[in-house]
Amino acid sequence: MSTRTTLPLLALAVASAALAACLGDIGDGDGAFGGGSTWGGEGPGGGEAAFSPAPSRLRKLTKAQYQNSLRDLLGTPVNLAKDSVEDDGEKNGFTAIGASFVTISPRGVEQYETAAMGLAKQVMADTARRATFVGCNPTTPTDATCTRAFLTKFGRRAWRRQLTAAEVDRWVAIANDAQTKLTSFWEGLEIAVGGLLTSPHFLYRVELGEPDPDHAGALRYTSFEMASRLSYFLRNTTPDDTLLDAAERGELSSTEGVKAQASRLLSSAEAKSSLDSFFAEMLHLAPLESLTRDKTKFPAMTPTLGASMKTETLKLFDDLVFDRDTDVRELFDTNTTFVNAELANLYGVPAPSGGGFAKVSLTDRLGILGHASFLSVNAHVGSSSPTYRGKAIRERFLCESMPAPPDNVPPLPEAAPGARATARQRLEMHRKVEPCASCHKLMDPIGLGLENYDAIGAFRDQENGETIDPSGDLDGKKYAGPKDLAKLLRDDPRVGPCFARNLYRHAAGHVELPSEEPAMKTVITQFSDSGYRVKTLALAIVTSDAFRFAVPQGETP
Amino acid sequence: MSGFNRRQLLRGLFGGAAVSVALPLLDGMLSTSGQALADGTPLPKRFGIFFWGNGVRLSKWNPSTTGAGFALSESLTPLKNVKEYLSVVSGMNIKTGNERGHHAGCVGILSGSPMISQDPMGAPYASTFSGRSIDQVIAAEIGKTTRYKSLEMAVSRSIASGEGTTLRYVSHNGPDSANPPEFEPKKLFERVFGVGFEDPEAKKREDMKVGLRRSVLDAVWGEAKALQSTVGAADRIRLDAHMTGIRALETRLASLPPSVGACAKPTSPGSLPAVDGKEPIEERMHAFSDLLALVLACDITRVFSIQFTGSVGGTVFWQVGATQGHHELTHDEPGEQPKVQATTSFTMKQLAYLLEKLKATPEGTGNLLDRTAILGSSDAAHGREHTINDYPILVAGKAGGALKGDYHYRSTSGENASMVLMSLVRAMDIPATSFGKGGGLVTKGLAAIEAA
Repeated sequence: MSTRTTLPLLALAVASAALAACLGDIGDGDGAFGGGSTWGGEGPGGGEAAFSPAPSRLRKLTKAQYQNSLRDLLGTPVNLAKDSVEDDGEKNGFTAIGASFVTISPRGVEQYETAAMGLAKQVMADTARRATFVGCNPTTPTDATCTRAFLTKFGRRAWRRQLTAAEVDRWVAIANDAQTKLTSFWEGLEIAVGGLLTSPHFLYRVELGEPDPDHAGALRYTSFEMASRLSYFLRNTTPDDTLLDAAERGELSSTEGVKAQASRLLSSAEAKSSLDSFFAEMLHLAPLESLTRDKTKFPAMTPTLGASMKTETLKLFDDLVFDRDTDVRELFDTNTTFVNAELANLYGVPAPSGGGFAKVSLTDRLGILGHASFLSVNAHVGSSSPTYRGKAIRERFLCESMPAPPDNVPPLPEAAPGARATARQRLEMHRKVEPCASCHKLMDPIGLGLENYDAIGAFRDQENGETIDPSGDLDGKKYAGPKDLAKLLRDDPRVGPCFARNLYRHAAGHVELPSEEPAMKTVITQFSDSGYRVKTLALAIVTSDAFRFAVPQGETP
Repeated sequence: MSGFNRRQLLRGLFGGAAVSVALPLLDGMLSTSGQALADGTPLPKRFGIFFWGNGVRLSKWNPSTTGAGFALSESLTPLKNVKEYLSVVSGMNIKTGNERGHHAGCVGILSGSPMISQDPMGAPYASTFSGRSIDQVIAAEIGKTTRYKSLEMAVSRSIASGEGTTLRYVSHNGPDSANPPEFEPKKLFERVFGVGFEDPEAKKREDMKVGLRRSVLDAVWGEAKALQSTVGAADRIRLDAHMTGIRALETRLASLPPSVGACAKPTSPGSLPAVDGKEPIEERMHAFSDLLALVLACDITRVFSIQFTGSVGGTVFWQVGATQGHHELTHDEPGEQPKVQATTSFTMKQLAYLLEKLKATPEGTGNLLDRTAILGSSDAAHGREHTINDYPILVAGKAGGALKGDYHYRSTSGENASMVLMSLVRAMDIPATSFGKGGGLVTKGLAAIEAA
């Protein structure tokens, strides 16, 4: 397959035009899934850049994908130490994006090899387990028939596609060599299984596309590649046999086929944890797992509070997305949430009976902006941070970039003694004096609205003996306090499209390119038409031309 | 492998904490002068990086006198026992621009090259290195024969994540291609010295499998090679890095792991987790240093990097009474910043432990520090202001006589900080004629710190 041709179709220099188009009023609401109106020529708005999909890239399995895939391939229980493979490299907000860029270091190679060989040994050392796993009974230590049958079957699962004849031959030969030298059928297979799991075809998602019959120069992801794309997006693990069978029948090169399988995957139990991880990444909740706060300063702090905070937020997300399949913007203005005993203590409400999490209503806060999770990850160790909170709202909910902090910052004029009781007072000079002001003005007036919540999210109306003023404005819209701010964000027209873009970035493994904007418009329209329901958004994304097509990567790195 | 033959011929003595086991004395294997192996091969040179985040307080950092026999500043006082091995370089600038505070300093001082910003509008910012960090430039030459080309360690886990590879990793092979560090001394121990098999039969079986695993790696390498021909340029580079790692592992499997007899297998330092949110960074640094002395003496690697604390890192230096994260502290503490200053002194005390440990480890007629060069620096000059002029740079160790020591060079014309990197590369006997890229490019070293 020649994938290295240059495409006249590609207008890589369209950045500014496409950006203008994305801000303009295009009004091309194609309600149907997979509307193909995005391709080629001038868009309906006139002067708008033509749609072109993004270049394909090898995507390294994220740590979670690696572990989930091994669980599914080898069957539980798989003993894999938590830090046995390299950490993900998060980039532009998502590990999925980092996975499209990072390399595997020499140490990483060693870790993957050790893990794969160790797991293969675990499986093959267990007589009951290996019999089920392999599925045929060897008649000799080098039984080629059984070896071939197993490696063909396992290879398809592990590499998420059918192996070529040459590949099967290669791995059968490796297995037979090992079986002969070790005089053991099982230990020989162990070497081959470990090898298949060390191969780049397992460690990377090799989704290179095939020539697209409908669009000259473009590539269409093959049915097997689409199976991987759907499965790792919607279940965060390797495709199951049903999906691979559908791929083998070529069903995943049509929007209908994609939609049918995607709907099935979305109703699986793994879809919940998969979208949960997306949401946790979108809000950058990872630091909560090791949240440290001084208990003398924050009496509600416990060693497990950080993890509980994360659970709370994901429970609310699950409630909106899976249990109620409703408008995800309720995230901002709902007064209900989920607490366990330690969170109840933090929020000052009665602990739920039964020890676990229960749904409660809170009166001193609304939605995610009042969640201890959001408030804690966007705070300092010892104090709140209106700047971090404002920055997080801009970046994560509104998809706006913050300029770089200036260098050679001169020390700010010291405030008058006694005038530094509240964060608003301490940050006053930052909002007044350049080079600080131009950025702090973007962040602080939003973050100051959340000053009623301390560094772990407990409510307070005073700081250092002074009453906190939680009023401010969001890009010119005034608010009186945190609940007003939450309502403003709920109805902010930037919020829905930003959520859609975030989910797309996570699904596609890159930040959307200007040339993908026509497809983004379609996705966003479908999301808003559905009343901002996330499962519908997920379907809109997987059936989008941007998700199903690619162009070659090009010859300049 | 030659590395192991040589290692077996080395001699040394170890004193100290967790990993102290005496090596057998093998005087007869050294030349009569003790400066080389009996066959005349010079003793190996080593290179390391000691990195800490968030800069320094320049007013307390720069020594007040220059030249040989300079007077240590307040920040550098903890290094008094190794002063004869220490050069302080001040007044030099990172010349690759300060596009983004902390990021630019990291990439500049570690690679002499400009940073790469990865900031599509509307998404969180990220950055990466544009080229190899100096440890990898050096490892490509002096790390060819050892079991590990280089070893990477990190002490504090309070690392800034989510802004790309720059703030997160010290050692880079190129853009988005980092060498992630080991955070736990115990894990490094297990990786380098292995977990022994008690049962000789089981061990024999595993030994048999090693050869098979090498054949598998060869097949896997071939698959990566074939895959390369189907992808574009960016992925070809990524696969190149992967294939380098595969070959390295194949080679490693072909050599015997360090054996007890020749290399005095130490005891594991054990787990050193944070307790009540307090990271035992001093204990971890000591354990890493003890291990490293052994690893270098046994010639398991010749190149290492230690990220003591991270750029924009949030390490809470509870040992000096800090309650804020380090980055926050450097920006928020008013006035003369005594707490920030205390964190710098504490950090230098940790570097001193490593240097003293290497100095106390004999090799030939000298010690490990005689044959090592270590670059010590940070992601900014003045932490609070994220400046990149008057950069804090330390050079420790004599590099087999290539470096001077006990010297403070202060540039009065804001010379290019990459000159120090060039000197370090040449101190490793690598005949480089230039170092760095863009504004960081230099064609000569800093003669003042080089031995005449």
